[in-house]
Amino acid sequence: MNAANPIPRLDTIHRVLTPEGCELELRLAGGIIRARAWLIDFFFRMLFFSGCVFILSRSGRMGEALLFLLAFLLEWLYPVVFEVFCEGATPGKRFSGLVVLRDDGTPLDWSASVARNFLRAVDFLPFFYALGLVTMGLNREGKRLGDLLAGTLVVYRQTVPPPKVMDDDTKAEVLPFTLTEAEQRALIEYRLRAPGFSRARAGELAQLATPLIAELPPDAARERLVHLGNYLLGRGALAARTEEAG
Amino acid sequence: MRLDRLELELRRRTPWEALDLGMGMVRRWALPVYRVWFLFLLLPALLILLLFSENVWVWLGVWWLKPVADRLLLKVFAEASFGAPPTIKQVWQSLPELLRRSGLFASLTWRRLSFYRSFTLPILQLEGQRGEAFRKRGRILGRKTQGYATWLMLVCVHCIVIFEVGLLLLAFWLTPGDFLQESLFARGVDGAMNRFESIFYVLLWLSAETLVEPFYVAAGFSLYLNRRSDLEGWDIEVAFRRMQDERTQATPARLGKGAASVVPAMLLALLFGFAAQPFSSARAEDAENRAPPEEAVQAEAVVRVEGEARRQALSVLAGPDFGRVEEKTRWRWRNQSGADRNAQKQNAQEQDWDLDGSGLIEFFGGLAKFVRILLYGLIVLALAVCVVFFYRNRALFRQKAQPQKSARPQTLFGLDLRPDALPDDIPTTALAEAEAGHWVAALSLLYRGALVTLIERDRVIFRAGDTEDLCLLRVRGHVQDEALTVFAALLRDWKAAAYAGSLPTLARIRALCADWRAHFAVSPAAGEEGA
Repeated sequence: MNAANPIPRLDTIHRVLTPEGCELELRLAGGIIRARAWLIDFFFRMLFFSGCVFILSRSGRMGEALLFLLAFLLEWLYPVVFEVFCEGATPGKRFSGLVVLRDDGTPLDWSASVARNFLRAVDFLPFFYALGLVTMGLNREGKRLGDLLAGTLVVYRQTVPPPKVMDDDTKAEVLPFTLTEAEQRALIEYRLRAPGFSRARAGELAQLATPLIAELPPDAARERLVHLGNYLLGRGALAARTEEAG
Repeated sequence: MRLDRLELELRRRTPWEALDLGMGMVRRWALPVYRVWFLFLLLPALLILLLFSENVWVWLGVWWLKPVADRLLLKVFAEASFGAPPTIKQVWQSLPELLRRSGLFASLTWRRLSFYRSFTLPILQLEGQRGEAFRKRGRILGRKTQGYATWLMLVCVHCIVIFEVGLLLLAFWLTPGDFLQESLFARGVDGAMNRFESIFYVLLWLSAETLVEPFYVAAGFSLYLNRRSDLEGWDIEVAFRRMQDERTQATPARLGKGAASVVPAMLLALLFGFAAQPFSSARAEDAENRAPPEEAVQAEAVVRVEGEARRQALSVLAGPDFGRVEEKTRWRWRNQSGADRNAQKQNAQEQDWDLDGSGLIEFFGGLAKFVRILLYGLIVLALAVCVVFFYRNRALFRQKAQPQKSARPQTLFGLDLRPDALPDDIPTTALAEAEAGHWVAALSLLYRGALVTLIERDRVIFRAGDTEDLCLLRVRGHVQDEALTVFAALLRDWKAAAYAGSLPTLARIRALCADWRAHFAVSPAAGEEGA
């Protein structure tokens, strides 16, 4: 809320302060997408295992023994190996855009990965990750017991991609005065998304930015904001008139 | 709508993140949400179900009424999101309106089984859209979101089952003795649930709903908010308003005029409501299937009915529905003697598990195992030694590969160096050329022949760009001193002839040919002589 309100607004961001004084924003992943990632992994494992059954079941008792070994390894080492060697993501997590990091944002190492994955046995209790699901609901970071023990986070790999500019308006106008960073961001956001809003809504929004558009009618206000946004984005050429103004 | 009052951070989110935010909403407003849940929803449901616990239809009815619960929960979440979680009294007062004006009839009939229930609920309840307007709105909002709403539904449905079975197992593990099993599976003669069993299942189901349903509603609401924020630029609106306030201290024109406005308070509350999962009879069967055979046997022992009823019960239990033959596969020793088998039978209690027959078999078995481990160990060791050997001597293999890699040059300073381009007897041919007056051709032939011999016989490595002097340098060390002298002399004469045009005498050519034959001839005979 406002500065007066001590409770921050609800969000799913986990902030990490690096030793260099940078603040990283990690976007925590919750239960639904993690369940989906698990499902994809499960599918892959089943696929691989049934392929092996198909091949090894013809090789008699040796094949049987190998199958048991394989089942064991798939259950216990599949996530560990992938998380350590494939940038902290099993195939399912990769397809879901997830990555496992340690609490301070550094990559997983063997000990953390082994801890979080071997504790699946506990998270699985009493039936199908019931304990893990409940634990995920109880802490802000959505950690299951294995994550709590290993000190790891499951986060989204990429930032939300900005929408593509969908029009070819390339005129730009110089900002009439200096904007704060937050204001610049809002302006850029408006410029990128304006083509997606309904015409009325785009005009209505534009008129809210009174200091920038003065008394312009909605459509003109929208256009002016788009041009200012172009300027911030480095898009297009400045008109002579606005150069004088700047 | 006062967006600046919204207690949710407005930013561009993926729909997945919006679903995650639902969990955060449940956690932050756990108190206002769960007090409503317990008082208005759980309590009535519990009372009704306990009163009619044996009647499966009552269960189904309660489950069918779950949209009513969703409306109450959504009211709490919606108002809490704007900074004013409703008190119990407020919820109570809003009940009639919520029931009447939230499209409840459609939700309880043809929309009851919709996958997007919690996602479309805000359109009905908060926006107040009905009929065609509702469908249109649902299409617009659902265009990029329905898949995620479906995932939410699927996961939540599974979570309910997981929690139910989980709690059931937990209860089994944590109750001492067979008390729970006996109580749960002591079916009456007609196979109906007993009172204890039905109450137990009611509690399991309602506990699971308590964990899942608030999240389901919150996540659907969050998904709805995210989509609208995306479509209408709520985050931009808030940022622009803030700029307005800060730059023009006058007129804090904050009055919201966002698109559709949240119609406050519209929910209801029924004295009972919810539902979950197709449960009831299906669930009972489920639990029975899950019970391992030992428990079935114990259940048999529990039937303590007397007389005719007892006889009937036992005959039913003995029938094919209850008694069954199981095929079990297990490991055992192959060549077990009859004596061993007898010994094993005497040892009846361990029979199922142990593999050992007599001590002798055990001893040999142990020995075989030891030898086998030893062999495997040796194989591993041998493999390791091989790997280490190849790794240490990798330079060797690389060097050998190298000469092949840099193919011998086909030409040097424009001279054709392919062996098959040369005549068999080079000195004779060269002499003949010289006598015919082709001095340069003769020298060239000798020179090329010498180079080819050096490459083929002495393994001298030339590169495609080498000059004559560089060739001399490369040859040094590969051949004996006399041969080197001859090669140097040949080179000198060749350079003089080729570049300076000063021709050697015929005698000189003859001497060169003789020397050439002595040192560079590659015919088998010459090779043996050299050796």
